Amino acid sequence: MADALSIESLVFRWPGQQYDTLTIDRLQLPAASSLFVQGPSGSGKSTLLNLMAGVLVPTQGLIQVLDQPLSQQPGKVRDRFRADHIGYIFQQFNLLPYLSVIDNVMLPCRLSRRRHDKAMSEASSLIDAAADRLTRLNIPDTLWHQRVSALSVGQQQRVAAARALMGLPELVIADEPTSALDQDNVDNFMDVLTGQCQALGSALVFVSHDRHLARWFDQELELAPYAGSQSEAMS
Amino acid sequence: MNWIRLALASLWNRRTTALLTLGMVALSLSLLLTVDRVREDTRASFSNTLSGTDLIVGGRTGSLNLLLYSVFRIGNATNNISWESYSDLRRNSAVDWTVPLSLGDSHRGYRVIGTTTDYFDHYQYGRKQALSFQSGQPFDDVYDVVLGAEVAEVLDYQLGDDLVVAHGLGTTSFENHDDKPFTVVGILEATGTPVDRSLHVPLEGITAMHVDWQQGVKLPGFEISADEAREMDLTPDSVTAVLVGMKSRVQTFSFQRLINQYRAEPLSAIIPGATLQELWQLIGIAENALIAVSFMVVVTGLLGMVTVILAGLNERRREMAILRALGARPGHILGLLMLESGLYGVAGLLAGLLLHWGVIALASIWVQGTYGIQLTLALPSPTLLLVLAGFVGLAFLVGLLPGWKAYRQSLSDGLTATT
Repeated sequence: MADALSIESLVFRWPGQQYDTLTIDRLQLPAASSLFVQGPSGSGKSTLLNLMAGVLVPTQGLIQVLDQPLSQQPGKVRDRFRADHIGYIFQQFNLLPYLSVIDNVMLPCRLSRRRHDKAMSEASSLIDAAADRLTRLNIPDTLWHQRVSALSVGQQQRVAAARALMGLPELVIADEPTSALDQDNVDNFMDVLTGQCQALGSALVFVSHDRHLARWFDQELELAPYAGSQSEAMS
Repeated sequence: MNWIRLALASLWNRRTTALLTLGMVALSLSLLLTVDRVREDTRASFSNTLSGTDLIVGGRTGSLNLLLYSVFRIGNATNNISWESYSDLRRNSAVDWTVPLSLGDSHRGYRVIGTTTDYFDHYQYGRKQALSFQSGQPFDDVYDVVLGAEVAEVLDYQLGDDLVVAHGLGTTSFENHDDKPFTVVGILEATGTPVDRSLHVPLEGITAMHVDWQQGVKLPGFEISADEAREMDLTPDSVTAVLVGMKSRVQTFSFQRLINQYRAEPLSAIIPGATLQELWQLIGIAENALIAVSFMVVVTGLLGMVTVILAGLNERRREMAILRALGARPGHILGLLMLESGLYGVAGLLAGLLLHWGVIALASIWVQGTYGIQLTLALPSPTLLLVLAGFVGLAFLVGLLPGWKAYRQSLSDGLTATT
């Protein structure tokens, strides 16, 4: 089976900057396994996420997602690929305030034919598929047709996870999704997220500055505090 | 399809701003629509007022002035035609018929016209439509009056009612011809022309009212009763204007020249259609200015709309980042904003049309009563429809501006917008 993610000799430097923002020699994430990326602010975590999602391209090196050399493809293909294969969870404010909870969850299948078809192959309708994800993430059905603003932050993050898992994406990327949650909610969220990714066979890349979360993951990658000073030291 | 749904839902989420913006666009369009409609209807109304008349003859005056006071009952005559000159031109072998008009008196704001029964036979409006009677018949006696449809309706007169004519024009008059009341003998059908707002009496009636007047004032201690006046010679000294029908239209121009060079008295003869053209040229300047202002208001509306969308972009960085994370291309973001701008255009146009029709429906009652112009509820003219189609296209196009900004924003933000 193809690796969910593999990175080789990656260097990223913002145009006009003196130092590299991010350097990763080698990283390999097998399908359906999980990776915890830990690093303090300024260590290039966001940059790495944007690179893996195909929004940014590396200055040097190669990123492959599902054996696709994502970093070498044009923007249009990368955007299409993201829609089809990647579920994304933000730190906060994941949901469009003008759609209901269940409409937010169905959104990936409205924007990607592939994920639509996959969702339809496991359920009789998109609504059923979305209901399945919401149930898996412990969202009570009384909330499904509510406005997003009626939900607590913890519930919103779990709805975002439900959305990321719609249409069985091979890779789920989470950008510090627990930073706005209290400790009980963090544990609860980590349990359902890692559990359901495993159950549904999606690989998970999870970024956080909180090293206590590492115990939920198969692999760990630690980013150096200051990529700039690191490359300085190497030269 | 999904993008339209998203754009609509997003707009609905910002509905206060969106509705105000929509109102601005709709208002600006309805101004343009209404100005154009009033222009069209004014022209139609003026063109429909008189038909079948080859020449209008009056005392020496400007041709526009003569047309306005004789046909549209706007303004006043400065000179009259003497009865001798009138009799002379009526006898001309080229002339088929004449309708003399004597103006200057009124009844509760409506003008009183002294004329002959030829008026009811020869006056035509619209497409050569003749006057017809709703009830009653043409005047016969000196003190008979025939009412226009609006006069009868608004003042609630029936056949057989008596009314008193005021000296001079205006809604209220201190000097009334109350010693010589007139009896309603006929009411005309509505025509949509100034005829509806006129009272028609025989020329002799006008003379009879003024036998005991001189220089516009009643002679003190010199009163002649209505019945005494009836016995006198009531042939008028002069008339205000004459509508002339020629036996053959070919003779119109030579007869017009003859009148304009008439030796016994300075007279003017005008061809109504040609003078109406002069009127359009004059009014055209004002019309163009109004249309230009309306266009500028529409452009201002568009600019305002773009400003509103641009101003909201920063707050929507998060929305754009979510869409990007779900696989939206930067091009989709650009398209989404053009769609939003275009939706404002389309919805603004529909709302503007409704507003315009509402305004016309309300204003038409008042405009009909005050100016005698019939405003119509109709689709815009073909030219204006083209302009409106252009407007909708432009509404989509100006969405490029916020679209481009959002495109740049979403490229630099990627998935890490922090707003």
